[in-house]
Formats: sequence, C-alpha cells, structure tokens
Amino acid sequence: MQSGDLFRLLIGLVLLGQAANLLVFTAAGLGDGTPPVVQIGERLPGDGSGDPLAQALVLTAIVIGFGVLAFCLALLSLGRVGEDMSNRKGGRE
Amino acid sequence: MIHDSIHPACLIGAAFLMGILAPLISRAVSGWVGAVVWGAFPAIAFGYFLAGIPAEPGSVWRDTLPWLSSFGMDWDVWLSPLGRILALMVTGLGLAIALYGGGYFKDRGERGRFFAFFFVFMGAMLGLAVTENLLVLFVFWELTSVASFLLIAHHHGLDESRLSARDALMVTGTGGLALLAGILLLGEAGGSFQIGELAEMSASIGAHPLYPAIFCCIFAGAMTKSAQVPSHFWLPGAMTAPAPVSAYLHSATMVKAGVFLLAILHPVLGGTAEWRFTLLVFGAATMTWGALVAMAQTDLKRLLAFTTLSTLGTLTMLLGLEQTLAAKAVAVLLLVHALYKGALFLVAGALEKATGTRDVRRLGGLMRTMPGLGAAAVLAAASMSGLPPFIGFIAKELVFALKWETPVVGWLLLACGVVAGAANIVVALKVGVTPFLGGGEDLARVEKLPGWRLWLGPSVLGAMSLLLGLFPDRLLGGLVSGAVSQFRAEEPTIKLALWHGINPPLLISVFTFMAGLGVYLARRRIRSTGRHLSERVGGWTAQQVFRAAFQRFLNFAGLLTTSARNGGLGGIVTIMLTVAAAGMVWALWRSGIEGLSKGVSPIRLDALVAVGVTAVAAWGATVARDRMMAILSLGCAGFGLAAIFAVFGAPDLAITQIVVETLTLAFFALAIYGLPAMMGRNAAACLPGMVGKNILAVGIGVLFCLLTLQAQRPDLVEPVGREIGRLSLPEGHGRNVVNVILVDFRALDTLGEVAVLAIAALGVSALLGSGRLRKEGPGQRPVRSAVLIASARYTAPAMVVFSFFLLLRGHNEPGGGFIGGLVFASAAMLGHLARFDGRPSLLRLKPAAAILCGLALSAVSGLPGLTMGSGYLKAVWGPELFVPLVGAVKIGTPLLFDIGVYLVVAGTVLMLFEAMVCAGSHRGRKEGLWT
Amino acid sequence: MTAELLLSMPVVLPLASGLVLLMGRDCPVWQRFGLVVATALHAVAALALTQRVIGDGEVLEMALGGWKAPVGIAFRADILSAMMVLVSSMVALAGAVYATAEIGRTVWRRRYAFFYLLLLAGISGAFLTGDLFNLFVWFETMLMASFALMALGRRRRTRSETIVYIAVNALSSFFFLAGLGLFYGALGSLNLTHIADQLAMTGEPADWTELYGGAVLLLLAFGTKAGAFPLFFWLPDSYPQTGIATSAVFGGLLTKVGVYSLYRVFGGTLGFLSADWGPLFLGVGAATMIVGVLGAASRAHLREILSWHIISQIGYLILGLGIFTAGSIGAGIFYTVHHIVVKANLFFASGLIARAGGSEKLAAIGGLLRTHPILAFLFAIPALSLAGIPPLSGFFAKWLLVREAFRAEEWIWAGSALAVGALTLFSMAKIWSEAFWKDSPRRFFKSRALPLVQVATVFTLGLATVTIGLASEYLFHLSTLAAGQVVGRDPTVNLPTTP
Repeated sequence: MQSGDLFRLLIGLVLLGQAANLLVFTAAGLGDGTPPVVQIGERLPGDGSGDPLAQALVLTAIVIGFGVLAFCLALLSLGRVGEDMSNRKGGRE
Repeated sequence: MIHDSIHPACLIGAAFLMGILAPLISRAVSGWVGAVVWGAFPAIAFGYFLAGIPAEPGSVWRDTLPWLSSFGMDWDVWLSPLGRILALMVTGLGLAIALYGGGYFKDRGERGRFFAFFFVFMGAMLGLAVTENLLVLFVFWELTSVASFLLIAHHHGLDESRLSARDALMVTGTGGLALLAGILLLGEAGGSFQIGELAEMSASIGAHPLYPAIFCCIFAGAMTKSAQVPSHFWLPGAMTAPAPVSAYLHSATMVKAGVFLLAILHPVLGGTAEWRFTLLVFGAATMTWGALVAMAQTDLKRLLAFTTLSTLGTLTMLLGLEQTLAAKAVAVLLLVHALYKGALFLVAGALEKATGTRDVRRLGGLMRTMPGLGAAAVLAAASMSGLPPFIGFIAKELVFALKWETPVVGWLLLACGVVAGAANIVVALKVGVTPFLGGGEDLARVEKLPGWRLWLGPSVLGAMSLLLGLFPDRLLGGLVSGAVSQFRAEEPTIKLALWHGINPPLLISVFTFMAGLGVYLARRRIRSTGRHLSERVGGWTAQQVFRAAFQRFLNFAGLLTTSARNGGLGGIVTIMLTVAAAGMVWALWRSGIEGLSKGVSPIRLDALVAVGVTAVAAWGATVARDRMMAILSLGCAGFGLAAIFAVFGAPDLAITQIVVETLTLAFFALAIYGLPAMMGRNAAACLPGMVGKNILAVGIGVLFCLLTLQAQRPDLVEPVGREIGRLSLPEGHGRNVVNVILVDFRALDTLGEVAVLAIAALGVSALLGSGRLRKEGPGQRPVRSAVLIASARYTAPAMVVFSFFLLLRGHNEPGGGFIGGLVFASAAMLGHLARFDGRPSLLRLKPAAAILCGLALSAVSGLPGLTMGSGYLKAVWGPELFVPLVGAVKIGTPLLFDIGVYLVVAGTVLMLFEAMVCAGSHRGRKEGLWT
Repeated sequence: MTAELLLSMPVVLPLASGLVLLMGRDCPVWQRFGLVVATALHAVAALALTQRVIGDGEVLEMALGGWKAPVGIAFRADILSAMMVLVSSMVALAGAVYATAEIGRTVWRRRYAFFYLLLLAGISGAFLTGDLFNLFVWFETMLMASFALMALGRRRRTRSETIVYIAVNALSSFFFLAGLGLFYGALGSLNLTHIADQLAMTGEPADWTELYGGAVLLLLAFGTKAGAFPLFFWLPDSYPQTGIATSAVFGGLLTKVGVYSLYRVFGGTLGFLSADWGPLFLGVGAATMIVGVLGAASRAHLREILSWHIISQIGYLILGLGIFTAGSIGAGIFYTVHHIVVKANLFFASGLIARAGGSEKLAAIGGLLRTHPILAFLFAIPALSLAGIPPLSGFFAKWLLVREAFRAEEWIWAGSALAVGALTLFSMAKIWSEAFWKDSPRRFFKSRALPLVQVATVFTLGLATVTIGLASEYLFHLSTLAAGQVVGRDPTVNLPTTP
C-alpha cells in the first residue's frame, strides 16, 4: 500500500475499507448472532441481535467503497497510470 | 472654518477619483490645458489646507466619520499641526510634480499610468496626514506602500526596476505588518486606537508590560518606511523610478511617513529610555552611513538618495532627543528638506531628459543653455548646503544648536552631524552647481532643451526656500509652534529667525562648510579611494545581501516543499498512515489500556475461523507477487469478512459483501487484463525503508485491533439502533430493520450513496467514451465456452427473477434494492459474457437510462412527504398487496425508493462492466503500443 | 415557506437539475444554459434559506423522513451553515457562468453539468446535515463528483494526479468511517447535537478510548480533506490539473468543507476536547500556514502558486479553531467566507491570464499590463485582498484573527500569521511582476481576446470582495453569532466590543 505501485495500492485500499467496515460493525457491539429482523408475531427484534443501524451504515459504506474502487480500476485500466507513477519517481519499485 | 464647510475626506475622495479618471484625462488633454487640469487638484487642496491654518497655533480640528465602530475603526479625522505640515508638503510638492509630470511623460498612456498612481498616492498620503485613528491610518499607510511599488517599476520592462520594486514592497510590506501588530497591541494596552485618547493614557501605556513589544513593532514599521539602516537599501534601489516619482515619494513625502508616525505617536509612546535609545542609535547610524556613502556616488539620483537617507536619519535622531528645540527642528527640517530635495530631483530628471545621462562626471557648463533650470538648481543647492539666507540655514543651525546643548552623547552626535552636513554640501555642489557651472572633458551634449514645465516647478520650489528663509517667523512661525505644542504638551513661544548672532552652532556650520568644500574639491581623489573600498567590500552592500539571502530562502522553500512529495503516492500514504498511527497511539495512551481485557465477548469457534481466514487471506493479498493470486486472496478476505458478518447476525451485510466481492474480483480481473502477470518486487529501494514500512503497516493493524477491542464494552448509553429496532415494525412497517433503516429511517444516506454510484458509473463512462462496446463485432470475446453459454441461458433469467424477489421481500426479510440490483447486474453480466442469442430483452437494459430513472425515482419518492409538509423523504404508505412467493408487500414511497435503488445499482454495475470490458478490448488491440 | 422546503432545496435542486441535464447532452447550448439556470436556482434557494436563518434569526431544523433525531437524520441550518451554503452557491454560479465560455463540446457531452451539480449537492448537503454519517455520505458524493470532474481534464498527466487525489481521499474516507464507527460505538448516536448533549450530560469521559480514537481518526479525515499539515501533499499537484472553472470551485469550496467539518465537530460537538487539543491545532495551523506559503513563494506556475496558497490560508482557519474563543472562531468563519470568494476569483483570473498570455508558466508570459490593462485591475483586487491589503476583505480577515490571537495571548502564532502575510504579498507581487510587468518573452505571440462572460465573472467576484471589505463589520458580527451557535454556549459570550 505504501509502495508506489497502483495495483498494490488498490489492494490495500480494499483491505483498509474492509477493515474500516469491520471496525464499524464491531464497535457497535456484536450481539449473539441473531439477525435484526422482527420475527412473525413479534413486535421487536430478538434481544441478542446486533445493532441494525451499524449494519445499515456498513452496508452503505460497502457500496460506496465499491463505487470508488470501480472508478479507480477504470482509471487503472486506462492507459497504465501505474507506469506513469513509477516513472515520475524514477524507476519502478 | 473651512474644514467645517468642506470636509477633508472629500479631498481624499476627490484624489482617488482623479486617480481613476487619470488614464481617460490623459487621453483627452495635453499641453497648457493638461497642466491646468493636472495642477488644479493639488492647487485647490494646497489652498484648502493653507486656508484652514488656525489662528491659534496648537488648536486641532477634529471630526469623526462613523465606519466600523465595533472594530474601533471609526474614521477619526483630525487636522493636527504636524498633519497640516505634511498635507501642505503633499499638496504643494504635488502641484510642482503635477506640472512637471505633464511635461516629463510624453506618451499619453505612460502619462495616464503615472497620474493614476500619483493621485491615488496623493490621496493616501493626505489620508495619512489627517487620520487620527491608527487602524484607518494603517489603511492609508499600506496604500502608500502599494502605490510606491507600482510607481517604482514605472519602467517595468527592466528587470532592475521590477527587482527594486519588489525589494521596496517586501521591506515596507513587512514593516507594515509589524506596524499592524504594534497598533493592535497598542489598542489592547490602551483600549483605543485614537491617538488623542491614547495620549491621555500614555503613562499607563509606558508602564504596560507590552510596551517594549508595542514600541518595537511600531518602530519597525516606521523604520522600514523611512529607510533607516539596515532596512535602508530599498530607497537607493527605488531610484529606478522616473524622476518625478523619486522627487515626490522617495524624498519629499512617503519616506517621511515613518518619521511623521513617530512624531504623532510621541505623546503616546515617547519619553521612555527605549524610545530615546533606539531612535538615537538608528537615527545617528542612518545619518552617518547615508552621508558617507553619498560622498562617493556619481549618479545624480543616487547622490540625492543617500543624502535623503542621511536627512531621514537626522529626523529620527531629533525625535529621539525629545526637546522642545528638537520638535522645532523636526518641523522645520521636514519642510526644508522637501523643498530643496524635491527641486533637486526634478532638476536631475530634467538634466537626464536633456542630456541622456545622470553621471555627474559628464555634466557641466549647462547654465548657458538652461538658465531657468540652473537658477532653480543653484537656489535649491544653496538651501541644501545651509547657506544664509535660505531656510536650510535655519534648519541646520537648529540641529547644531540642539546637538550642542545635548549632554553626554552630544559630542558624538555633533561629529556625526558634521559628517552629514559636509556630505550635504558636497552633494549640493555636485548636483546643483557642477552640471551648470562646472567644466570638464567628455561632457554629454544637450540633445533637447527641457520645456518650461520642467524648470518652472523646481524654480518655484527653490524660490520658496529663499522666501521662507527671509521671512521665517512670518510664514512658518504658526505652523512650527503648533507642531511643537503637539509634540510636547506645553505651549512654548517659538520664534524662528535667520540670525542669532555669532554662537557655537554658527561656528560649527562654518567648519562644516569648509570641510564639505574641501571634500568637494578633492572629490576625484576621494572617488578613487571610494572605488577602491567598494571593490574590497564588493558584493556586500545591504541590497545585494538581501537579494542573495532572499533567493537562498526561496530556493530552500522550494526544496522543502518539493522534497516532501518526492516520495510520490507511496510517500503521501506513508505520511498519512504514520500520522494516523501516532494519533491512535496517543488516543490509547491518553485513555490508558486498562479497559483492554474487559468486555470481550465469549469467543466462538466459527467466528474465530472466519476471522482467521480473513486475516490470512488479507496477508496473502499484500505479499503475493502474482497479480491473480493477489486478487484471489483479496476475494478470500472478502468472503471471510462476509462469513464474519453472517456469523454475527448480519445476513444483509453478508449477502451484500459476497456480491460486491464477486464484482470486485471480476473488475479487478478485467482491469489487470493485459498487465504483466507478475508484479515487480514489492520492495522499497533499500531494506530499512522496507522494514520501516512493514512495521508501520503492522502497527496500524495492531492499533486498529486495540481500538476495536476497546470498543468491545458495555455501552453507557443506549444506542439509537435499539430505538430504531423498536420503531421498525409499528412505524416503519417492515420487519427487516436494516432495510427499513436504509429506505426509511436513513433514506437520505441511501440516496446520497446511489448518487455516488451513479457518479462513479457515469464518470467512468465519460473517461472511456461509452457505447463503443455494442458496436464491436462478435468474436473478440476471449471467453466463449459452450458450457458457459448453455448454463447462462437458464441461469441468467432465473437470477433476474430472483433479484425481483429479493427486492420485494427486502422490507421484511434479508434482501432489498441493493442486493436485488447487484444480483440483476450479475445476471446481465453473465448474459453479456456468454453473449447467447435471444437474450431476454430485460438484460439489454440501457445502463444510463436505468441510472437516470432509478435516481429520479428515488429522489421523487421523497417529494410526497415534502408536499405534505412533513419533511423530505417522509414515508407515505398505501395498501398492502399480496405477491405470490413473497408474501404481503406494503405499497408506499419506501418501496418506490427501493426500486430506484435497485435500478441505479443495476445500471451502475452494468455500466462499469461495459466500460471495463471496452477498455480491456481497446487495450488488447493496442497491446504493442502500451506494453 | 416551510423549514422543510428551505432546507431540502439546496440539496434537492442541484440533484434534480443534474438528472435533467443528463438528458440532451449532445447539445452544448442546452447544457450551458441548464447549468447556469440550475446554479442560479440553487443560489435563490440559498438566499431564501439565508434570509430565514439570518434575517429572522431562527435555527431551522428538519427531520428527514419525519423521524425525529436521533432516530432519523436531521438537517440543521444555523448561521454558519446558511452562510456557507450561500457563499458556495455564489461561487458555483460564478463557476457555471465562467464554464460556459471555457468548456468544450466533448466535455459537456461527458456530462460535465451533471458532475458539477452533484458536486454542489454534496457540498450543500455537507453544510446542512446535522448527522455524522450523513456528512460522510455527502463527503463521498462530493468527492466522487470531484474525481469525475478531475478525470475530465484533458491532459495525460491528469490521470496520475487524479489517482493520487482519489487514493488519498479514499484513505481519509476510511479514517472518517472508522472514526464515526468508534463514535457510534461509544455514544450510540450519530446526531451531532445529540452527541454534544450526551457529552455535556456525562461530563468529560476520561477513559473512553473509543471517543479519543474516533476523534483522532475524524481529525485525520477532516485534516486531509482540508489540506492541513502534514496531510496536504495531494493538493497542490492535483488542483492545477483541472479546468479553470473546476479548479476555482475546488479551490474555493472543497477544502472549506473539510474546515467546516473541523469547526462543526471539533469546535461544536467535541468542544470540550478542543481546550485540550488547542496547542495541537495551533501548531498544525501554523505549520500549514508556513509550509503553504513557502510552497507558494517558490513556485512559478500560476495555479500551483494559488493552490499552495489554499494550504497556507487553511492554516489561518485552523489557527482560528486552535485559539478557541468565540471571537477567534468567528474570525475564522469570516476568514473562510472571504477566502472562498477571493480564492475562487483568483483561479478565475488566473484562467484569464493564462488565456491572454498563452501559458500558465510565469516564465512564458508577460507584458499583459500593456495588452490587457483591465485584466490587471481585475487581478489586482483579489490579489491584494489575499495579501491582506486594506481596506479589502483579506485585511479584515487577517487582522481580526490576529487580534483574537493577541487577546488570547498567543503571541507566537499571531506573529507567524503576520509573517506569512508578508510572503503572501510577495507571491502576489511575483505574479503581477511576471505576468503583467515583464515584457512578453515571446515576440510574436498574439494574445486572444477574453470572453466577456468570464471577465464579468471576475469583475463580479471582485465587487463581492470589496463589498465584504466594506461590510466587514456586519459580516463579523454574523460570524461571531455563528461561532456562538457552533460552540453552543451562550451565543452572547464575547461578542465584539469596542476595544
């Protein structure tokens, strides 16, 4: 990620994005594995369910991250920016 | 009183107006008419200030124009005696310069430019003279600096002109900022920005702990403006300006602004040891240095410039002496110097125009051809030399008398004064006498006789010197005694007289005159010694030192600011991560790590497996050298993450993660199509760098983990998510809380998110130029396996149906617009890859249209709520419908919203896919070119 | 009009008009016209909002979807938000007008107008939202639109600069996300007002790692977007690569959204931290200021100089936050408003200079004073204002900030702010000297005529600068009120008084 190679950079970005998502997910409390869905006949989601808001946030974040990534990938596939970058620094790392 | 009927502010406004109109006027008039037009304003203004001289010397006319009251920045106008003297100088000299300038600049455009800045400058100087509020005064102060900058580089095609202008701006601009700081501090210490009010507080200001800072800052401002050593070098540099500019700004008026400021602030800040010491030292140093350098000069204007320095030093020194006599001397010297120096500069300009040179060694015997100019020069030179009966004599006698009476340091000052006086005499002779009466070989010829406007102005100024010298008390007594009373809060009776009898100052004068004459006669020898000396110290004049240092500084700045980004993207990322790591370490340290062990929920085996897979895969992704391996590892990490989500009860997330991860993999694969399969070694050039980066990377990971662990603790407050869970069914009409949040509770986030997706898709297609894909013939697809086609024929439509199912049931069960859209897109991609004939038309969805419709639908679905007056995106519900397989589906705006999301997501993914495929095939064709 | 309508329009209008402009993209006239009309409508909406918030002195709130905060997302417009929305709409309108004469057919075809309007929607949303995650979403909208706008630049090198820009911003987004996740974990809420209330109730939570960790991460995220030291390196390379109108809007607005968030979150919600972190902000502010101006002083390319100056001025704004009095934050807000207008104007003017002179490299142009005296005048106004020459807006911005620094007895920082001013003056003088004074290095260069709409844009913004200078008292009064609202204590504290 810290190297100048664009490809690695993108891999790193994806991983970091996943880490951030995971962080949001866990920071809000994990629960015992019950999904936050109100079962038929109930009025409230199960007691042990995780925080639905955090899940919604993560879902949004995943999709946004995907949008950004797709944009980067398109740039990558256009005209070899990777080489440009390396050349600017005088040699490929 | 005249000031009551016409406010001084009107004059300043008129000056600025003249400045704005000057380019137009210049085009319209010239010759006699021009002289009248240009001279009219200064003449009127001069008359105005003359007419306003009060009968009682010390009285001050005051008025306040409200401006920015809460900033303490009302425009307090006053006409103090000192201010009146400055205003008279500005307008009187201005009249002479206006006449002269009309004849000096022949080109209309050039003349227009000169007069534009000239009048702006005049307005600013008048503002300086009549403003009592220090902040407003600062406004005018800066304006004069800017006008000076613009006027110095009048010949802006020359590099030297521009450099000199820059130097002047830098020095006076920096000084100006110091002055601003000083004024602000003074305002804090004294509670006002008005000089009159501050003067009443002077005792407490003098004792204030901030006093040294205030004084230093204000003195720095005054010092740079009045060109005291060591910030003096900009003034000789400014001689690249045309003669009228030098005469006006750089000898008569602007450079006096610093001295003027010190004089009007003396009642506020004066009377302390700091004041006396600083002013005496800087004043004496400037006085002596200017005089010494002046004697070795040969350029007319530089000769004059260095003696101007010397006089400015004298004025500063006089202010440091703080006696009644000093005040009197300051007032007289201000006027005297403006008269003779202005005249001599104008003469120098006329000589240059006539002969094409400013070198005194090449000028001589011009009295016959230019008698008018010669007369003006001789008169001014006599005043400069301090000969009776000129006013210059009175000024010099006053200065000598003062030094004579000063205890202790008086002798030293006297010695410096003699040097300065002698230099004045030498220069006066060189500039005023030699060119006209002197002789010599290799003289420059007169090419063009100067017109009447070029000698009339200086002649009048010279004659004024004589006139004032003959009737000093009659003409100047009132002004000077007023100034003295302003300077020292007492009411002395001031008499100005030409003759005081034979006394020590007179004797000193005579001695000085003889010395000056001697130096003048021996000037050739002295010049060669001077040249010798200057070769010794060559390259070390203040100007050169400043320029070299400044250039070094700029180089250093350039180096500093480029070095940081030399690391390229990797470097930037490293910096960001380092800062992040430092911040997190700080956060952990700040709050202690004691909470680490508490609250970790019971570890479950399945969770552990999922986490393990994710971690290993992530590690794999970073170290792999084969691109495909890296991508696959990345995918594993993603699926591991999905497993974690699933295990911890987030089915929506898990599904989304799986689909997104699949798409990510596909896109990555498309993107690397054509790149070499193996990557270069992921090694920074040297091992230590690599180790450092690894440590940083691992450190970040550990810190994230620590923070996350810390986060694993019982909440002190109930999270909002719980509340949402309670509200979901009764008010959100949905059982799947996550989906209800997405389409109802926080629908705006979702709207923003689909907007992001839409931008990404359209952005990518803009980069590529969309739509090329369809035109390509078949056969270019690298993958066309029969199995794929056969299976796609059945799976793709099934997936489409499944995606609808997911969409509709999303409100109650895991699913929803996002997931549905992603599944649909996968189906369409599959269909596209397989390219089987007879694709259902649904799969030929136009992505751009889908995005547009979807985004519009989502956005519009929020409007009903808005029109019903309860906020954008307020859900409006209709009846419940029963859909086979799905169950009950409640119709309402959130459903519409979700359909919109579905469309955008599907369209986006498809569009991105098409773009990538297009880029890939495009590149495939150009393989040889690119790789 | 209802508060709901007023609050939603600045976001919904550009979004909707962006969608409309997706159609008919082959007709540049329609795109041009549509963009100008859309931004003008946005300006009207912003004016109406400002009128209500400032004129009637209300703080408008809207619960989106009818869900009262903290359950739902809240939009909230206090004076600061309204001022920011108004100024951005002005700059956006100016940019749209300017772009009509700049952007070519292909770029319109590539949906320039859509991206531009979504950028505006994102910016307005960020200024109006009262919810941390929603702020994140608007940040992303804005950034994605800016990625697209930047990638539309024609030069080949643009792409690598775009990558740097995207990567850095994506990274900062992850910091943002992680930070707000920690916040939510710690406080169970995303609404800024609600968080502040809860913090006020519980007092300073000394052992809340999450909170500190979250705050650090948010600081990083906002700092990166704002271009604060040492996170600014992406900025000066990427901005000059875009079109003129785009770079003006970027330079004027994008970093300011970061600063706004800093003010909003660290000045308001986490106010208690800022007392603790004051020295950090001061140090960062001063470093940003100095490094920025050093970069500007040593560059010789028009828009690079201006971009470095953005950094330098951001330093002042952070300094205002670091001093942390109602007055200093007010001065910072005043500075922001001034800076947005002036910086956008300078970018516009630099476009004209480049057009007139044929290059953006100072070494390659010259002699414009003779050929384009009016342009010289138009450039001089914002340039002098930036350098802090009275009585233009920059002078008041600077001295108010320095005054507050003095009052807080932060001598060193006040001094460095002034010293930076001197170098700012230098680099403006450098542009002037090189572009206008120096004789043109090319003997046979025939400079092009300047489009009237562009000149009019620069003129209008110049007028705005002068107006801000003349109306500085009122604007500072407003800014101080806004600061009071942001800090959330008694808004009458430390109102400007006659010293």
